[in-house]
Amino acid sequence: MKLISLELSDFRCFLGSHRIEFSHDPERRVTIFHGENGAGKTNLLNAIHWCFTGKFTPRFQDKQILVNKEASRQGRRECFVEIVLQDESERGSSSAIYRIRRSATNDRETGFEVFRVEKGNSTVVPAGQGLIHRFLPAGLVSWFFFDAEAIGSLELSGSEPFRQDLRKTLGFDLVDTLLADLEAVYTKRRQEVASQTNDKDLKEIQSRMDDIDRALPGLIEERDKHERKVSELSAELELVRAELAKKPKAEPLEKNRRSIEAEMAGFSREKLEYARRAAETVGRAAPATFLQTLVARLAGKLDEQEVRGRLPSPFSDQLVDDILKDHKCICGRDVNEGTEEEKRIRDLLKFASTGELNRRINAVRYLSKDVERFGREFPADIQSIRSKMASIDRSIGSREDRLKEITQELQGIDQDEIKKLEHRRIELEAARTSILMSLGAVKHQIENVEARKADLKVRYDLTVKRLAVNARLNKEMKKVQRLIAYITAAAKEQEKRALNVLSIELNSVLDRYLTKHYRAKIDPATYAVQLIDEDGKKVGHSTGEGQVLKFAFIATVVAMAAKKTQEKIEWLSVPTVAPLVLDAPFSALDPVYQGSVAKNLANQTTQLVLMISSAAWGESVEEALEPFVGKRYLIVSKEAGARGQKPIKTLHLKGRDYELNQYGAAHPESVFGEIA
Amino acid sequence: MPANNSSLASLMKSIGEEVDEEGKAGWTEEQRLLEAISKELLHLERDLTLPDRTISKSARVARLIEFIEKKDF
Repeated sequence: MKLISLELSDFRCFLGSHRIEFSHDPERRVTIFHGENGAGKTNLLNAIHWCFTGKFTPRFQDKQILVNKEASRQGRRECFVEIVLQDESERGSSSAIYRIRRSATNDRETGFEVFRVEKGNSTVVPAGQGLIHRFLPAGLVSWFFFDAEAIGSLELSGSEPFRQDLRKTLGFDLVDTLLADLEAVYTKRRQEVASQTNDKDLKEIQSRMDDIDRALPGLIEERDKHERKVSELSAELELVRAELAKKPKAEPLEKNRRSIEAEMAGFSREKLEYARRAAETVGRAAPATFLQTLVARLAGKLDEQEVRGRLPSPFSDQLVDDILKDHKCICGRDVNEGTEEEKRIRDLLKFASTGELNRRINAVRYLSKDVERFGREFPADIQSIRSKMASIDRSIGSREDRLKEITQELQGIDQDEIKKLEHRRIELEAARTSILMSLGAVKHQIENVEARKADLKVRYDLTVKRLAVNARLNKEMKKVQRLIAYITAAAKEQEKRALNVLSIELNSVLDRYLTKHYRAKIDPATYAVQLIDEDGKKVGHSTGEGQVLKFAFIATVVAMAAKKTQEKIEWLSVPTVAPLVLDAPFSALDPVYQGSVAKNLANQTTQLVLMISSAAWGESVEEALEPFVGKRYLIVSKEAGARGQKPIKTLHLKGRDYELNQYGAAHPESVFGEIA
Repeated sequence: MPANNSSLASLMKSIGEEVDEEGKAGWTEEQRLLEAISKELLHLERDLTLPDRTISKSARVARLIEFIEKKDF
C-alpha cells in the first residue's frame, strides 16, 4: 500500500481545505514536511493515523477539539480527512486505488467510508474498515505511523503485547489463528467422544475443560488490556518526566531521582538474588533438620557396631576365600570339601567385609556428617542471608525517603508548570502501580487455569483409553492431533528463521551506523531486544546508542514485514507493505547518529513520510535524505497579531532560506507550501 | 539497499533454500503428506480470515472439520 494524497478540511490547525500529494516513486520515495514546533506536524501525523484507525497517537493532546477553532467560529461544525491510497497487492490486477474518508464534529465521529476508485468513478466498499485492516492490520499501525518524539517510551523489553504485535508484523498471526481454530476442532471432537461413549467421568472432565475454555479468553483479554494500559501509562510517564527534565529548576532533581531509582533497581535485583539463596538454603536444610535426629541415631548405631567389632566385619572375604582354596583354617585344622566345617566357613562369606561394603559404610558416614553439618550451619547461613536482606531493605527505605523528599522539593518549586508536571507524574505512577498489581493477579490466575486444563487433558486421555471409542471418531481425533503437532513444530521453525533474519538485518544496520561495536540480541521467548557492548554487558535503552537501536529496530521490522514476499515464508500471512510515517524522527537522537538513522530509514522503507523541524534538519540528515526526496512541503505557521520582538524562524535548504512562520494574520492557522 | 546488506540477504536466502531442500530430501512420506495438507489448511484459513470477510469462528471450525474429514492420512 502506498499513500497517494491527503486532503484535510478544517482539521485542527488547518483551516479550510488543504490537499497534499505524497511521493510514491520507488526511487524518490521520501516526502518531507518541514515545520516548527506547534506548526502542525503532529496534527498531520494524527490526521493520517485517525483516518485509518479512528484513533490517535498516545501523545496527541486535546483530542476532543478536532474542528479548527476559526472554522467553528465561522459556523462550520465538522472536519474531515481523506486519504487516497494505492493497493498493489490485489490478485489479478496491477493495482487498485481506494479513497478513505473520515469525518467528525468535536463531539463524535460522523462518518467513515471507503471507496474504490475506477476510471474516475467511486463506489462504496462494504465493510471498509476490514479492507483497511488488510492494508495495515490494526495491531501494526503503531509501528508504521510513529510519533518518533516518543521513541524513548518504545518498550523493547518483551512485554506480551509487544511480542504479539511483532508476531503480527512478521506475519505469524495467520498460523496462530489456524492453530487456535484447530484446537477448537480438537475440543469439538473431544466433546463428540464424551457424548458417544456416554461415560460419566469423561463427560465431567470435558465439561470442566469447556468451562476453562469459556473463561480463558476473557482472562487473556484482561491481561492484554492491562499490559497495553501499562505500556500507555509508561509512555506518558516517560514524556512527563522528559518534560520535567527540560525545566532548569527541576532538571537536577529529576536527574537525581533517576539515579536513585537506578540504585533502587540494583538493590531490588540484589534482594531477589538473596531471596533465591534463602529459598535454596531452606530447601536444603529443611530435610536435614528433619533427618538430624534420625541421622544422629544411625551414627550412634554405626559407632556401637564398630566398637563391638561387627562393622566392618572382623574378617574379610579374601580371608574366607583363602581358607576355602587352601582347605586349611588359620587355626591349622583341615577344611575339606563337603564337610560341615567347609559349609560353616562358606556361610561366613555372607558377613565378611568387602571393599564395596566398606565404601558403603563410609558413604553413610559422610552423608550423616553432611546432614549434621547442614542442620548445624543452617541457622547461621539463614541468619546471614536475612541480615543482608534487612540491610538491603534499609538501603531501599532510605532511598524511598529521598524520593519522597525530591517529590516535596519539586512540588515546592514556585513554578506552576513544574507543580503540574510533578502532580501528573504522581498520578501516573500510582495508576501504573495499581494496574501492575491487577496484571500480576490476572497472570497468576491464567497460569493456574492453564495448569488445571493441562491436568484435565491428561485425565481425559487416561480415561478415554479404557473406553470403547467409535473407530471413525478415534481416527479423526488422531488426525487433528497430528496436524496440530506438525503445524506447531513447523511454525516454531519458521519463527526461529524469521527472528534470525531480523537479528542479522538489525545487526547489519547497527554495524554500519553505530560508532561502537555493539550487538543486538533478540530473546526468542519474549522477543525482548537488548543491546550488548563489546564486553557482553547490557547497554541501556535510554543511551544514544539505545535510541539508534529503537529506530533501527522499527525500520528493520517494517522492512521485514514487506520482505516476506521475497523470502517466501509460506507459513506467514499476507505481507504488510505500507509507508512509514514518522513525526519528529531525529529530535530525540544524538546528533552523531541523525544522518545514519536518516539514511537507514530511507534505505529500509518502500515509502517514507517525515515531519521534521528546522532544528533537526542538519547537514548530515540533508545529505542522507536528499537523493531519495520526491516531494517536500513547508508547514507555515501563521500567527495573529503583530510580530513585535518575536523571531522569524527559517529553514536553510539548498542555499535558500524559507520562512516557517508569519505574523499579522487575521487568525492563527497553518498552511502547506510545496517547494522543489 | 546498500550492496553489503543486499548480498547478505541474498546469501541468507540461498543458504535457507539449500538447507530447506536438504531437509526435505530426507522427509518421510508421512512428513510430505502432513506438509501438503498443512499448507492447504493454511490457504483455507487465509481465505476464511480475510479482513473484509465476516466468517464466525464456529463457521471456520466447521469448515476445517469438513476439510480434515475429507483428507485420508
